[in-house]
Amino acid sequence: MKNISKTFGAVKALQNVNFEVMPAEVVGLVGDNAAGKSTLMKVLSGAYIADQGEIQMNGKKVHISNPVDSRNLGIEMLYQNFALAGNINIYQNIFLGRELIKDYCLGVFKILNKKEMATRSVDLISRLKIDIHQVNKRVKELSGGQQQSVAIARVIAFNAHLIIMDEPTANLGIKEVGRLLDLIRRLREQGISVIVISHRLDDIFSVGDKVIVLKRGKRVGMRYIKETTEKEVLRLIVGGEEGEA
Amino acid sequence: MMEKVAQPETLEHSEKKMGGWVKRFSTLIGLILICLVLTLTSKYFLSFENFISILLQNANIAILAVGLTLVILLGEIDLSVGGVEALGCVVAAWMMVYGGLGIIPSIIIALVASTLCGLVSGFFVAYFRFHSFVSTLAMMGIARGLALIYTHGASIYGLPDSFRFIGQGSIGPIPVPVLVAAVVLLLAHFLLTQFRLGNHIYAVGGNIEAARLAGINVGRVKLIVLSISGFCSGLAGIIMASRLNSGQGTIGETDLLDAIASVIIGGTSLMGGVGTIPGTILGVLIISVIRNGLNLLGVSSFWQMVAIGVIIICAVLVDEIRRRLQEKER
Amino acid sequence: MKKILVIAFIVLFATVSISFAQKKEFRFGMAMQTLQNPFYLSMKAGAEKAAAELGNVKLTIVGAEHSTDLTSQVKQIEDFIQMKMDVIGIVAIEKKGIIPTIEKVNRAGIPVITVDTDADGGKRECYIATDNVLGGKLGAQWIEKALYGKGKIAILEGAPGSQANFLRMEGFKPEIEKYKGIQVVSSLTAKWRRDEGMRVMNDIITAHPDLNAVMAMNDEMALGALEALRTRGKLKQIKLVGFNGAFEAIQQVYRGNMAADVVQYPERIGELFVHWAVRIANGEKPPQDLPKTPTNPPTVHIDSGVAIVDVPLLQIKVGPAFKAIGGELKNYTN
Repeated sequence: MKNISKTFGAVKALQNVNFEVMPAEVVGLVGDNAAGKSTLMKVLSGAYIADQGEIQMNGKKVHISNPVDSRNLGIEMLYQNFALAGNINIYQNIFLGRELIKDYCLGVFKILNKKEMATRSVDLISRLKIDIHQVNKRVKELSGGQQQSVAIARVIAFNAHLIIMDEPTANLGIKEVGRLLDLIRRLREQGISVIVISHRLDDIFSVGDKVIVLKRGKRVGMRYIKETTEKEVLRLIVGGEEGEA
Repeated sequence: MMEKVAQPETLEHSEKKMGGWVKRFSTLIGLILICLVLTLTSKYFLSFENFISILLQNANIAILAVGLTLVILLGEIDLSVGGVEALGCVVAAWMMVYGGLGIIPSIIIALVASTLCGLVSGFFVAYFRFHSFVSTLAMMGIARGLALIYTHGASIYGLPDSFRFIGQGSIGPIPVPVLVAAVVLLLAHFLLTQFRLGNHIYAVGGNIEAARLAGINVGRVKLIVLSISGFCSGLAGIIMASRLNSGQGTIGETDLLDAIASVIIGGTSLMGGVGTIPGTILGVLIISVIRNGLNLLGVSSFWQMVAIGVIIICAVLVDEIRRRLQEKER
Repeated sequence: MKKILVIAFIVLFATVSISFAQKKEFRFGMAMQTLQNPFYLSMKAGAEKAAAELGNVKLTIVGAEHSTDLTSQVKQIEDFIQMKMDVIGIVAIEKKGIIPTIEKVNRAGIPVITVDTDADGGKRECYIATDNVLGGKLGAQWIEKALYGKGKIAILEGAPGSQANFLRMEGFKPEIEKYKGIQVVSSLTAKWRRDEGMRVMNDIITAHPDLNAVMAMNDEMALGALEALRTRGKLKQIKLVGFNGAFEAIQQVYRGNMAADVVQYPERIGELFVHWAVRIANGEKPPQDLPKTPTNPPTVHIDSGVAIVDVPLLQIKVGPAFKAIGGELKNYTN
């Protein structure tokens, strides 16, 4: 992402921010509140459109004007509030917007292939080792942790190359945090890149390869995890100067 | 017993009813209770002819309720259903009498006109961020105004004889409007449960942001649904034109209230995202049975207004209590 | 001995059957335009009084939710069919739109009587109503006299699809056009309603501040117009004529706020309905030599009488005039 700028009314959420992520790399995106982390990633996921700047993949310029474009490029995002519709069930949420269909009458009628969606969902959930038994239960009937599992299942369901997670560990207990970090490592092993937005530096340091710091809409620094300490990153977050690459 | 005798639509649907049986139970119990009370208080209630009459009288409301269910599922509202119904009625009649067109072309034009009304309302809701209340309130005035203009407030008469079949004919013991309503209800149920659009409608109603982030074209969904509502209103109007053998610009005022009441009593939440067509069917039946029962008992229309208002409160209250009990269990 | 027993048995049997025949209960349903209009309430009262006097008539009188709500009236009539009424009376909201429903009643074999407002078709046994054409004419003639043949007037019309409105206009307009000095500056509909009457009258006064008289085709509209005139201070200037003979309107005439009212004897219409319904239910046919309506099929018109009353009439012939319209003198003074 090069020179990305985004303004909401009078607020300059992002100003000329550069961001890069390599294949099979875990990048932590950190910064204080209102630093612009979520906004930047939402530009990447298609939820927002940047006012300025461009995005390149593998050296080629790409246009992401809506979430569908983003997904088609293999980018999936796990939103902070999960972005699930509570009134529909698990497999409907996982396949929301990309429902599986079967054809009737030589393609004239395209109806939902519920059996297939249910089957695949069950498969996903068991792979994630989550404790949910019925995939046709409404999402609002699930606990918070279970809902996040559904959201996670959704991001890994569609062969993404790049997964963005916005504050994934925010409401988890210790054991669950551990499971999530394991998942991130497993994803990296499969060649998938993961961007993690987080307030918790120890999580980032646990799994990350590098960390990029934003402050008030501007990028203030990038460090490789192996070459830096939490203290240094903290210093960047709180009082970093702009322009550092 | 009453159900098996005279509600062909409900019979067909009992196979298609999916989960949510427990939820729908209370509405069904309510309907059965009301029927029981009416059977005991009026000797004319419990008869095959009366049930057919009830279904016939409210077929147009059922059709309006279908469109409204879809709209309310989105979390929107359509206040124009009565006005567009009148417009459909008038346009069909006008085309046949003054336009010199045949029955089928007139019907098509009336349906196009009413769908257009829905499209226009939907357009402003989808792309100009109008609240559907505003958009459809305006359309209500426009549609009804046009209907009254073209009839000069009176009626258009002299419709071809064969047109009467739609509103006054029967196939076997079942009146044609009831069959039309049954087909519309079935199609809508199919749409909501078997097609992507149905899924999207629920998603938009449940969490519009989530739907947008999932790549659903929310604007387009709203546009389509409001157009469907316009279509349904027009269809109901055409049926009324045949029932009354004339184009009337004044119909539909009470129909709006009855249709909304039916949808709400049937368990569809005004917040959006919750509701089913079988539920709406029950809602329509409850409203129809109440009106019929009160007529058979010679009760004035004023009490009917009160009764329907009370039933709405009861239905929503029961829903709310059930919801809270469910939450407590978790 | 045996003979006496046989005779006694025959007499007993005869008495019982005769009393049975006399005790036969009739059930009539009447679907009125609305019960929100005192005119129809008077009609209802007259019908109920007649039913009470006869003793063997059970009346069910209902009104539609709004006076333009045709579908509500259709449902009520269809439900009357379910209730297997002996005779169904209809005050038609829309003269064409009601025809299919009347035909449905015909197919069910139940006689139909149209009351006050006729339908344009369907088989009706008879039509009981004021001669609305004559009433309209009386109104026009009165205005001509009151204005000494010169002035500007306005008309408040009823609901456009209503037969009653059509007939009253048919009596009024040609008559008023005969008077060259009188100019109709405005003729608008106020849909039979009081609130509409007030609103429309207000607008008319604004457009024609030098108006001399208003003919309102029913009393609800007249009473609404009255309020508009009162608010704008035009009560003295503009002569208001109503049509119905409603109690409240007569009061206003007596007080001098309204200039005149065409009285229709609504209670008598109600009574006539019950009486004729009983006869028709017993198999009688109304006399076919009475005037018939110009509809298809033509229907016998049973005239319930019409007159116009104004202040002089009321003041001079107070007692009998009030009796004729069903009121008592002492109720009108205050």
